[in-house]
Amino acid sequence: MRTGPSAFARVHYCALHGTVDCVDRSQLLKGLLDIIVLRVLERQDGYGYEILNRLRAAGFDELGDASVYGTLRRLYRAGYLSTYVQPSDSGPHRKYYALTEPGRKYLRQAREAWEDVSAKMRVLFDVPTEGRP
Amino acid sequence: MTTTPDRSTEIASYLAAVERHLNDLPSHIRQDLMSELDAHLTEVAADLEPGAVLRDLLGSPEAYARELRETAEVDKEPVTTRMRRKLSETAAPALAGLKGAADRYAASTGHADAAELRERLRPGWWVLRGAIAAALFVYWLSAAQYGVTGYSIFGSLPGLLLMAAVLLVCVWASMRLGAKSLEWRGRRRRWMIAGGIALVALAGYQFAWLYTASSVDLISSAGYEDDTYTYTQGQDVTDIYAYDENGNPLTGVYLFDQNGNPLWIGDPYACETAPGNPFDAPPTDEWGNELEEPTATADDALGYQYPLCAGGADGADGIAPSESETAEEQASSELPTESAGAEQSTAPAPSETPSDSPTE
Repeated sequence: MRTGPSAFARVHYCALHGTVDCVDRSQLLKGLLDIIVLRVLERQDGYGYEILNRLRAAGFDELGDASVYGTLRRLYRAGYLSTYVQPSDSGPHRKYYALTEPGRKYLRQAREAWEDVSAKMRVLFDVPTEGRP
Repeated sequence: MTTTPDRSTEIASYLAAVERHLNDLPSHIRQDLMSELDAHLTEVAADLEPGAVLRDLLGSPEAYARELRETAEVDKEPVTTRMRRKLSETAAPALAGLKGAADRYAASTGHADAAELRERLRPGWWVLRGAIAAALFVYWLSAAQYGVTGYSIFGSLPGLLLMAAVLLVCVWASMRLGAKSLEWRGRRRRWMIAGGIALVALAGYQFAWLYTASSVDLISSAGYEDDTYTYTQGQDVTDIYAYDENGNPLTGVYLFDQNGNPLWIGDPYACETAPGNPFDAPPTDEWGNELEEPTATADDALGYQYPLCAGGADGADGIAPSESETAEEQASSELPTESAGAEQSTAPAPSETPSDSPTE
């Protein structure tokens, strides 16, 4: 039941952004959200919307604010992130997210797993395609 | 780029719409998401262009809620946990109503609430539990030893003493267990509760016949299922003898109830010799000796063949079967092994007159 509406939403989203292949890409990225968000925060602490902008700058256009926010909250609940509030010169206080020690450890492991999968995928795709009947 | 009052109402309405679409999430996840979303959306709104609205940047609240839900670890909840949560959530209103009713009931009996009443009743339950265990123990023990020795301990002095002793021991053990179990929590406590329920259920199953057949003699009915029609004048019916209108005894008779189900009355193994299929082992002796063999045969669809025990060779009982053409024909037509039936029908029959009445 859930695949119908959410697939429709993705198509809708893709239509808005004018790309054709993003349906598959957003699904792919879902499994990598943890690594992506943690990696972005490893380099520098950030607050919600700014993190999204950093991701967009890195080329992850498919990610929505809700995905990033939901991932941030989930990682925070898991103890991988800590938060602190900083006043901003313009507008409201901002809640900054920072990696905790478990978060760093988790990111290391996730990165190793990703490198492993990535290398295997590379090998898989480098095998020349057999002629199909 | 400061937040304006209409921005905050916009955020509030967006928040409300998102929350509506997260209604089915576990409350702790929903609360966590919603608790911070207010601040988050305020941050987002602060970065908005003056003319833009939240919806342009974030999409519809439905889509936003859907995206949140997909990243909020909903599916990573174990299936068992989710089922338990759903079950407890659906059962919560009914349970609350039940608790209210129980509290009112307890209050009407002069107690503060149901918990206090339960506290007061607890020792009573321990005693009852011990008594039930004692009853089951004595019942099983007596059934087992009755099967071996044929001596009923009920109504005898040793039996009375045994019952009193078992009751005392079981009640003591139950009360001691109860006092100990008060400080148990978690798994051990659940096992205690399950054990209590199992004990009551077992006793209910074991003593159910008390309600259905209360007039039946306690011990002798223990192993029998068909005790509704196997007793006459307080005595077991062990066999059935059928006669035609002329007083001729009938053999090879099958009995059925109104539904066409065979009546399994009596016990062929209660005959003096073990029952055998007379057609498998054709009698070679003369008629009188052959009658020592039970002629009953059990067929799942037909039931026992009566009389079960064709004993009483002296004929004084008036139950010795004579040759009965109809019965033999019936038997041979129903059973394909004709050789034995033919032998039986050709065997010399005792010359008993039809006037030998079955009432003797």
